[in-house]
Amino acid sequence: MPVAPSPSRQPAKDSPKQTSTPSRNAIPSSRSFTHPHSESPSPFSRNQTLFSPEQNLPRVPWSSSGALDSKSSTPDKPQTPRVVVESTDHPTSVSHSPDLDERHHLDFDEISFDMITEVNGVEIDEDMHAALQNVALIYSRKMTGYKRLLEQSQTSAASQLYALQAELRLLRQQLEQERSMSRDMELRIANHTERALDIHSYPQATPSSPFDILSSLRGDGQGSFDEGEIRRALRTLSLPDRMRLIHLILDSCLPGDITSMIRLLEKYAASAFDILTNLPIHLASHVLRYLSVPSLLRLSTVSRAWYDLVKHPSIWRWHCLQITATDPVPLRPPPDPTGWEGLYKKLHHRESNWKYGLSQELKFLKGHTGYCTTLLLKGKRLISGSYDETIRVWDIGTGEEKKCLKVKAVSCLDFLDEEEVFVAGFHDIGRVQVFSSVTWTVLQTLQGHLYGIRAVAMSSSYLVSAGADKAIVCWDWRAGTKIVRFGQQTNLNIGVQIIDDDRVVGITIDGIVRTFSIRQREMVSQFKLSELTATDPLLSARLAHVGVGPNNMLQWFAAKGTQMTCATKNLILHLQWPSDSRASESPAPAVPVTPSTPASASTLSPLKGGAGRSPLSRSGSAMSFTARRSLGGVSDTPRRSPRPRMSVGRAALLSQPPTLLAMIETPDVAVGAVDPRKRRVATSTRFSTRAGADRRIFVSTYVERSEHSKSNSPSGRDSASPVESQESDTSTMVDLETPITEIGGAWEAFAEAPEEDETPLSSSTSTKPSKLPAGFKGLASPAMNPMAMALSHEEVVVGCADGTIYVMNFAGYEYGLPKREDPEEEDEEEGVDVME
Amino acid sequence: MVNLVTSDNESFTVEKAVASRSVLIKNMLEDVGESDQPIPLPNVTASVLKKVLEYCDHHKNEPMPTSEDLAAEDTRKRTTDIGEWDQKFIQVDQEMLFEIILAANYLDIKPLLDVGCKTVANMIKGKTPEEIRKLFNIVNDFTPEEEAQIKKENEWAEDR
Repeated sequence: MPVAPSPSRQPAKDSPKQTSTPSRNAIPSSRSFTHPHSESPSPFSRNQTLFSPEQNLPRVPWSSSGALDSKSSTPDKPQTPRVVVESTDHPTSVSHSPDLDERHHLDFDEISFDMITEVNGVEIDEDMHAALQNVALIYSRKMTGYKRLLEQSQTSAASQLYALQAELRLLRQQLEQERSMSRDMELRIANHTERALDIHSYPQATPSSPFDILSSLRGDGQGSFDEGEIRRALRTLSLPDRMRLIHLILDSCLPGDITSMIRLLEKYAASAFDILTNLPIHLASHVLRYLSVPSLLRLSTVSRAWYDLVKHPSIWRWHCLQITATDPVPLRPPPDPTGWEGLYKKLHHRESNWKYGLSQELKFLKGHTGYCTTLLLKGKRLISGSYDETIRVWDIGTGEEKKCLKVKAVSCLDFLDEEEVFVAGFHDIGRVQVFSSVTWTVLQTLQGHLYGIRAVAMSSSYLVSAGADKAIVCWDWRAGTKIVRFGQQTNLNIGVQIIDDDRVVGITIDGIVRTFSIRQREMVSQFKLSELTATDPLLSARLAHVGVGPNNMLQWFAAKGTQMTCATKNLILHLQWPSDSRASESPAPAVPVTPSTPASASTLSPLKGGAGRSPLSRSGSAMSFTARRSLGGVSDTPRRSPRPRMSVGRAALLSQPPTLLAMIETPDVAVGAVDPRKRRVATSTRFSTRAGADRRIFVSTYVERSEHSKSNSPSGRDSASPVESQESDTSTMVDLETPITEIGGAWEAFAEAPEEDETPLSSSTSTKPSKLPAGFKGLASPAMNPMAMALSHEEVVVGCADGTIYVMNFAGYEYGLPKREDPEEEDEEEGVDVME
Repeated sequence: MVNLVTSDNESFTVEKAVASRSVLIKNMLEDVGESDQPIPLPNVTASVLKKVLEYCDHHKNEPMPTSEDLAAEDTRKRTTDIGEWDQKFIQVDQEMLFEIILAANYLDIKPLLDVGCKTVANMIKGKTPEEIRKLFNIVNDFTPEEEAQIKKENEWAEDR
């Protein structure tokens, strides 16, 4: 019997542990020790019923039997056993079945009552008494067991309640915290918004950015998303938008996320310190070199330490070297390292003067009396040729005339400065003369053209001349002998160029580029300018008319190194011959152009998408025919078989068409010059005598495509890598956006003849040209019609119809930009456009 | 395998190819020849070296920049583009970034130095001075007048 409490206790002990949730607290625990066939669902009701038998039963032996009897005989009687049944359902652990046990008890009671009545109080049956006491003992034990149980469950319920309350309190605190945090955040956001509105310095979010974020968040649909995409999208947002998004994310975070984030951010904030000024100076300047000059200067207001850093000479030296990387003369370092910034400032102004066409200084070189037809500028040395039958040499630094050579009417010049020789082609006699620029004597006179000379070019071993007789003649100028004559070109050559020592490029006015090999004495290839970009419909549409019809003949030509520039009245084309590295990739040798060999076409087609194919296949036959005829006698070069290359490594150089670098649309221009290193053009309209004629000079600096795209977004993040691949399609590489700028500044000031008593710019007397030529009618007059131009990194030199030469220098500060675009000026420009 | 010992006396054993990303270590190895002697790196702590070696390990198969590349560096236009992996790699707190730059400089790992410097440049880029002060915990020690004066001095560079 003592076993009874233990099984009931066991589950009671366990129950609080099992009940993890507060809602299922006491009830299931009591259930767990309720015997399966117990009917009462509530532990309390049962507890109450449990007490009643305990109070009744022990009394049984001493109470009057009648009372007991009456009680037992009451109709309630069946209830008592029921109570007993319930109370005794624990001893189930006892071997016999509970039902039997109950009945046994029941029987026992009834029997004892009967006996008491019969004996009539004589004596209490000892056994009976003992048994009853036993039962009472059992029940009382059970009762205490239940009591304990109840107590336990109550305490466990209470402790759970406390735990819950504590949890609730914590949660409330957290909520409060988060609320205050979000309030803070909101405040901050509001501040930012205000500031953003005040400053207007933040880029506005593009309307498409939310879509970007959404689509990148969606990612591949498998839960992962492209972080880089999202990062980019986030950065395009404006600051207020960004903060709003952060707020949104924080709002939807779980409590734990935020606290861990705060810890992380605090760690970050704690680690924030002035990295830059703590780095050694050479590392700090390494960092700052990645910044553009304007953003670099903006840093100088951060703090004194940063100011000193920004002013550090090493940074400015680097920037000076950058900006002068394409200068023809090496930069002269300033005497004092602190002078680098000042030097950079000067250079910066020089470049921006070019950009805005602001000429700063004018210098007149007076001497020629006839058309100044050709100009050559090497450093500060200028050689000019004129129809007045002289060649003059000037120092444009001082404006001094160094030398005057009496010759014939000069049409063209070329200068080989490393050997101090120059060549002049004459206008009306088919003769070319080579001069020494040291002794000023004639070294060679080369005769071989029928009429005047149109163009000359010189290299250290060859000289090429193109004549009005449509022939190109190559000479050995040292020996004074003719090497080869490529006669009877289809049209007049506007220019010739020697590339790669033995290659000649000839451009005819109808826009056909032909390349010749001097050593092989034959034509290598030919291209039509109008078909260079056949793969790109947009470009080819714009090029289609080049060289077609009298209005689209080439007007001027310039070449240097592997670059050349051809211009019609309204289009300037910058071309670049393919570089050696690329040529060496090409397996195809330059096959002589023969109509019968299909190889010639295939040489070109794979390289430029058929761009060069059509001119070859169409006019190739005619060309090779004329070429062959011109070759006759001079050399018996066999055409029978492709011969091994003579020059190694550059085999395919000119068998590919040149690449179009840039295309600039211009007003009707007649003459121009190029600075290929600076990628700059100066060009001029024809200053006709017609009243109201467009008399302007322009400059334009084009940038490589890769740089161009970057300069469009100087402060923006360079997310897109610049196009550097030379192999990419022509169309993507061609710069079409280069603006062309009218030259203003000093030129504008002297465009009209000054009044006698009124100097055009009394405020800036220093810019007044040392002396105006006699009878000066202003630069924009028909007498000053530019006939020839030359261009250096600082100057534009213009040779005029009346023989005047003037030099415009672009270094200086005298002429700035007009504050705002003058409405009158715009009207003027519009008027010009209408005229065109 | 090369044994590197940091300033806080932790030693790292790495492949030679990895360690040789550092020109300093590469030269040391060439000078010393094959030996099991640990190489002391007194200017680098373990936590930084771990990070640096992570970079070296990822880039161990790339060609080393040649001296011509380095010479061309000065004239070439600079971009602040950083490769994707490098970008992730360099996402560290400012102190670590600072330490990495110093370590890359000391160990002579040019590409890593570039990545670090570019990262700092990108942090600065496009920010107002006030934002930069906040970013780096800098106190503005200019008076408003001085600030205005400097701004005026610098006007020339604004696109003109």
